[in-house]
Amino acid sequence: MHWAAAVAVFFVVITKFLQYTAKYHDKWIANLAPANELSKKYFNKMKERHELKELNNTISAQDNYAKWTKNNRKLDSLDKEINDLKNEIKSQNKAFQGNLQKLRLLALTVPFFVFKIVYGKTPIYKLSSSTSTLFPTFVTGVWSQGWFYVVLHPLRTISQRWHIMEGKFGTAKFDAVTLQSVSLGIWVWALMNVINGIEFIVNQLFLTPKMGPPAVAETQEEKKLDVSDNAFILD
Amino acid sequence: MDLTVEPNLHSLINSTTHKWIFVGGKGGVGKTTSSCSIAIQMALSQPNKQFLLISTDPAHNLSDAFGEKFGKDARKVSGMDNLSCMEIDPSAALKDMNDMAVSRANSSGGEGQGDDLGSLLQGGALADLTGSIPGIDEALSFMEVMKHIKRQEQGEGETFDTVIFDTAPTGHTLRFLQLPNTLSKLLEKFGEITNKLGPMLNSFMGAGNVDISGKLNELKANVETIRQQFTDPDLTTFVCVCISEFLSLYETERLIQELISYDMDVNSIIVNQLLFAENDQEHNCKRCQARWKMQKKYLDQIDELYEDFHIIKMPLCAGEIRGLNNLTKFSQFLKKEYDPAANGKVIYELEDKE
Repeated sequence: MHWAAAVAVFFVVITKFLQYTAKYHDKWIANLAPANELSKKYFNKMKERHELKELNNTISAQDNYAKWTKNNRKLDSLDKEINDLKNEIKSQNKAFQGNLQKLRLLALTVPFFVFKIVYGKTPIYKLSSSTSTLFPTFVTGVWSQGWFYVVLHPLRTISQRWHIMEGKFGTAKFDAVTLQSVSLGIWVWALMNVINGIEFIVNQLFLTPKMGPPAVAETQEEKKLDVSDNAFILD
Repeated sequence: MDLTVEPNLHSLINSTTHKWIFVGGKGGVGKTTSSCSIAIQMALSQPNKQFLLISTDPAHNLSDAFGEKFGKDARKVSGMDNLSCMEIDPSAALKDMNDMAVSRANSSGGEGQGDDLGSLLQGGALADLTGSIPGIDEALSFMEVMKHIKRQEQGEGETFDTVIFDTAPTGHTLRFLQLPNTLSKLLEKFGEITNKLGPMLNSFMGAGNVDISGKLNELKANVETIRQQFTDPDLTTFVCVCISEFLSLYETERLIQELISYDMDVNSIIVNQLLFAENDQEHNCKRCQARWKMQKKYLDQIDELYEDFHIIKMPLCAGEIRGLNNLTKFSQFLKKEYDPAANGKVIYELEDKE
C-alpha cells in the first residue's frame, strides 16, 4: 500500500471511530476528568441536603413549626448552593469539552485537511491502459487531478485555444501516464462513499426497527335487512 | 443593651421617612382591618401629614371597612382631615383610557385611519378587551403608584406623604411587587429595539407624532425610581398579617422569603384573631380554650422563628371591626401592645355597625 493511502486510512479510521462512539464520549470524559474540588463539594452538599431532608421528614411541622421552618430555610439555601455548583460544574465541563473539540480540530481535522490538500494529487495506483481508455479524458482527468480539474479544465481549454493567459491554469493536456492514475484525493473520496454506503445498508437492514403493519380502521358490518314476512303485529 | 424588639408598630406609626407601606398576607386574616388601623394610627400620630390608603385588591373592602363609599379618586375619610382612601377600579380606569384613545384618534384622524381607530374603540372596546387580562389589576395599581410619584416630583395636584397599600392575597401582591423588575427588563429589550430601528418605529405611529423612544425612556426612568424606592428600607416596608394557624404561618414564611429575595424590607408581623382565652374568665368555653392552646403553641414558634421581627398580637373582637370609631379603638393596640388583663374589656365595647 502506498504510504499516503495508509496515512489517509489511518485518519479515516480515527474519524469513523469517533463518529461511531459519539454516545459514549460524555461518559469517557466524565471518567477522564479528574475529581476536582467542585465535584467533591457538590457531592458533599447533596449528602448534607439528603440528610437534612430526612431529618425534616421526621419532625412534625405542626408541633415543631419553628425547627421545621428553620430546616426548610437551610434546605432552600442548600438547594441554591447546589444549583450554583451544578452550573459551575456544567460550565467547567463545557470548557473541558470545548478544549477537547479544539484538540480534535488541531490533531485530526486540520492535519487531515492539510494532508489532502498537499498530497491530494499523489497517484495512489495506476489504472491499466485498457481501463483508462474506456472513459473520457475529462473523467480520467478528474481521477488523476482531483475535483479541481472540473473547474480548471474549461479555463485551460479556453486559454489554450484563444491564447489568453496561457500557462496560468496549468497545461491543458496531460500525458497518458498521468491520466492513468488515481489521485489520493479521489481515492479518499471514493473510500468515504463506499463506507457511507455500507453504513446505510447495515443501518437499514439490521439496525432500523421493523415497522408494524398499517392500522386498519374497524368497519361495522352492515346489518342486512331481510324482510321475509309481510305480516305486521299491532300493539 | 436590651436587644428585644418591641411587640408593636410604634416606630412605624411615628416614622417620618416611610413613603410606601404594604400590608399583605393570606386571604381572610385581617389585611383590610390592619391596613385601615395602621393608616388611622399614622394619621392620628402625625396630623400635619397627608396619608393615602389604597386598596389594590380587586375585591375591594375599604368602603365596607369604613362604612362609606370610596372610588378611583382619593377621597377623605369622614371624620379625618389627613387620611384619604382610594379603591382602584380596573374597568373604570380602562374605560378612561379607552375614552382618551377615542378622542385622540378622532382628533388626529378624520381621514380614514383616525375614523377607523375611533370607531374600533368606541363603546369601550379597549376596556372590554383588556379588562379581563390576568394581572391587569396589578398593572393598574402600579400605574397609580407611578402617577403618584410623578405628581409628587412635579408638585401637581394632591400629594400624600405616605401611601399605605391594602393588598390582594399573597400571590397577586407578589406579582405586583415583581412588576418593577419585570418592566425594567422588558423596557431594556424594547430600548435595544428602538435604538436599532429608531425613526422607522415613529413613522409607523402615523400622524400621532409620538416619540416612542422618548416615552420608553421616561417610563424606564419612572420604573427605576420605583424599584429604588421599593428596595429602600427607610422608604418602604411590608407588614405581614397572619393568624396563628399552620397554613397562614406557612404562607407568611413563604411571603417573607420571597420579599427578602426582592430586597424588600419586612420586619413586622401582625398576628390577628388571637383568643387570649386564659385571661378571659368571664367569657370562656371549651372550644375557645382548645383553640387558644393551639394558637399559643404557634405563637411560641413565631417568637422563636422571627426573633428580630416586631410581632404584634391582636385580639379577636366580639364584634365586627367596621366604621372609623371601631377601627380607631382596635388600632390603638398597634401602637401599644394589647394587654389581655388591662384591655380585655375593649374587645366587647365595639359598636354595632349597621
